[in-house]
Amino acid sequence: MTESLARFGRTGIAFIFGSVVIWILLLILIPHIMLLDYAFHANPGAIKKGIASEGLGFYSFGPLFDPQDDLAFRTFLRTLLTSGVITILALMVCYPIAYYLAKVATAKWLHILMLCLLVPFWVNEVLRAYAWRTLMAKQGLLNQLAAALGFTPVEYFNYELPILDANIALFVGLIYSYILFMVFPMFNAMESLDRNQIEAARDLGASWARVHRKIVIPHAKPGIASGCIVMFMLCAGSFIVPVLLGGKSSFWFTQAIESQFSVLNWNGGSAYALVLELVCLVFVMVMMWVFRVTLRDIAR
Amino acid sequence: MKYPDALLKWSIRAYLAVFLGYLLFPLFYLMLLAFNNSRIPTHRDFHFTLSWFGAAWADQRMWDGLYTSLLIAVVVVVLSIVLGLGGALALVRLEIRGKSLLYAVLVSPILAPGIVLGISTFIFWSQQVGLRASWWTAALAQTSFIAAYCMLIFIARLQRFDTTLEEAGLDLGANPRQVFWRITLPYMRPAFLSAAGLAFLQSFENYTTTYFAIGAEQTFAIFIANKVRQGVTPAVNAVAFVLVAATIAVAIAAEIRRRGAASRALEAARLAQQADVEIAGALRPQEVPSR
Amino acid sequence: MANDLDFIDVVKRFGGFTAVRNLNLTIKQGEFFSFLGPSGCGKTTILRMISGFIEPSEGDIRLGPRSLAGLGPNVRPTALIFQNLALFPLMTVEQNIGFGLEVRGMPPAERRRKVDAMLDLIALPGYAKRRIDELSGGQKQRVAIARALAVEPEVLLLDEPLSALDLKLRQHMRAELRAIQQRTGVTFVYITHDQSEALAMSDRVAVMSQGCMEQVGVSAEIYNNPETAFVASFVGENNLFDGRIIAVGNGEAQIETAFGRLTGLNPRGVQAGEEALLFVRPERLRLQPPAGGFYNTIASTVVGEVFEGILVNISLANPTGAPVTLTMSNDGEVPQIREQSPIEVHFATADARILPRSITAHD
Repeated sequence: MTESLARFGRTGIAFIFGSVVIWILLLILIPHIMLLDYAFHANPGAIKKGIASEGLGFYSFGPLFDPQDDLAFRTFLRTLLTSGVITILALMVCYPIAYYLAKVATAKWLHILMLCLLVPFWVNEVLRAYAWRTLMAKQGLLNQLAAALGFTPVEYFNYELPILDANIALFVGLIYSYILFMVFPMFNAMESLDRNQIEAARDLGASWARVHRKIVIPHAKPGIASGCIVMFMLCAGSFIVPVLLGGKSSFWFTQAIESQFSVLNWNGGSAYALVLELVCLVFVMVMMWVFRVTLRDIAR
Repeated sequence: MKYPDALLKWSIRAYLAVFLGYLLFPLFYLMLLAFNNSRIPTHRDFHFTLSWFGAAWADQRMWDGLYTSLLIAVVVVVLSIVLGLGGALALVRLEIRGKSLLYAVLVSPILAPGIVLGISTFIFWSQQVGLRASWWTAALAQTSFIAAYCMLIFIARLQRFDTTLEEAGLDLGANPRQVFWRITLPYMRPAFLSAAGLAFLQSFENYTTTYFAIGAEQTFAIFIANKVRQGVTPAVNAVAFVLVAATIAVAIAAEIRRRGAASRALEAARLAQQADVEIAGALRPQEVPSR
Repeated sequence: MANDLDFIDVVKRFGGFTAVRNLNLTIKQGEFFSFLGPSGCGKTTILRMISGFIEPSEGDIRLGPRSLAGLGPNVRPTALIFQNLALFPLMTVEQNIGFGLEVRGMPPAERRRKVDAMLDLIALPGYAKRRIDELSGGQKQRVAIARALAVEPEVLLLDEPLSALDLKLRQHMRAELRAIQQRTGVTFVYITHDQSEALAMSDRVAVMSQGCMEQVGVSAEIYNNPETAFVASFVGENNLFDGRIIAVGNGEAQIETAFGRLTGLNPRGVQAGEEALLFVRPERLRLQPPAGGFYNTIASTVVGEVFEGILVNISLANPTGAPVTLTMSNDGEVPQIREQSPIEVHFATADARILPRSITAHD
């Protein structure tokens, strides 16, 4: 500590500490404690009606686990399942892309390709969802093409995928919106792999499958974990994409939160938000355990 | 090249092309529709027009939303850089215990869903403290995770900092404050620039966190979303066209700048190598082979 | 004003580890002084204590009458040339050299004059506006020296500055450093593990081992008259024969070794019956007996002959240790020698040195 004092002087240390403390307290800790506080209390309306008690309790979480009305629970399940499936799908789709960019593409092409990827990445998610809404409209381009090729037009907004219970438009829209968040972390992780290692393995006779399994994937694990976490979190927490593409029956959990807020049930909304956050936290920890990475490895 | 290897290579390239097409096509379609003289956004019966750009330009609410977004973005950039720098310095340069915990806490907003950040900020400031939620609550909510991104950029840059440079500064007579302002901060300049760019971008295009924290006000992104929800004319596409075109322009400009810097660095290294060879007396200048 | 650098009973400990033991030394003002030793001998610690980045655990360092204790590195009249040079990469040559002057508040016009004078000193006139990453290794060295000398320190500290350069450049820079030191008259304190460097450049050399100063003196003295076994073996090459002293007298001693009885000078006064080591330099071994004076003879077989350009090294078998080496210059009279053939080499008694067996002077 004394060496730092010598390096930075008293004002320097004050600045550093001050900014960190303000950041943690005002922006992270206290709002979070408030969220917890609201989530574990019942909303004033229910208290007035006598259905709920005033102190700490699980009342606000109730509707989610209500056996009589499972709408909230089904929404929750749909959100988690779909996000999970999308994450896995995105992982499989993006792995070859990330590998190609990191190890195969020449420097000249790499820069051009990265530009091509960064432009959609920087475009607003609202616009990205809107683009698909236009494409998938009943008389939209996709259905036109389908008709021209002789297929029946698809009701993208009404056709629910089995098990997932989410419609196609939403499924495709979510993938499209967030897939680049899977590519970049994996790319970053793979880039640091020394190409010589791969060449050495090939030289010693390893097949491509083995090279990937034994060399590339272990090295890229932090990137894979990071990509999966971000992908899942963005899908599960996505709001505008389900609003624009969800249609009538693919209700998303974030929309359930909003509907609580729209009737001023801050407590109910907080409770749901907390549940969502807990799920994401569990997912992060599972990823960290499965891939055996630490927090420092994940943060890009 | 062996046959299966070549096949593999070309199939990956085709895969990549399909992927890129999948990413880029919807955007271009979006932009194309801005020019069609039709009541709803569609490509059918295409008649070229620029009138939708005019319609968008005339929409006052769009300008209001743009102003709010820029205001929030500027505040977020400044706050995020200051806080991010403090966090980075604390984690990299200070000797304190519990660094792992500190790191986890500061980085946690990145791993939390945006809706939770927006809600918690809203609940705290609007419900508990009692102030009306508006652009500044959105700014605070965004800062919680954007500052973390900035911090990560600063940490990466700081870790590569050669601390003997600071020792040299001290040794030559500078006090710690002078060392910080003249040696450490200038080194951070590239990191400041990329952090500012990243922060601005993330703030400007953020939807979910902002929506839940801002209360009744509108940012640019919220404006667009509302327009899309309500019922759409190609005016939205006109706006989209401008946005995407601006993004492409910025990306190209950044690339040009990067190429210039790279070639300058290459030339400088070549000159330096030549000078050393001369000093060593191994070769006379005329004998140095040119590339 | 002559301010000598004095070390008075200086000790430095890091936890349980003693890096520098009881250093007592005076470095004269204007001297080119080197600390020579292997890694871990404490020379870097000494340098950092002089510059102010660490303080001694015990004892005092004084410059002239003034103690340096408690003074931070930015206050001391010392300047350090770092091993990696630590030139400020985002600044020009001019800004680097002028940095120390700028933080002292020197006005720009005066600064520019001083910087130009420095550039002349290091023979890089006109390089003021160049950026650091455009310079070669040798040029960067010189800029680092100019930057340190610009603040007119009383003591200039150099931390193995030439170790990263390749051979020809290093030899060139040695001469330059020496010339600059003599021109400016500043005290240079130089640390290195390269003994030919230390011997060539310095007025005096201190040989360090494990925190202790084994010997201090001028180069010729250190090389020709080593006082401990460590100095004898670390500085230059040396052949080593161990055995027991049989007889002592007249400043000489006779030692019973695996090669028979050998006689050498006995500067440390080793007693009869003690275990000791006899050292003789490879260049003092001869294929012919020296004319006049007493000499020793060693009989062995040739193990190898290595041609190194200027020198030729002939190795002889040694049943009890490393091969005995004879070094002769490639003067056209090198005989053809076959491996495994028997050979006799000779050396004058005056060229051999008998020293006690302890590793350091303080065992």
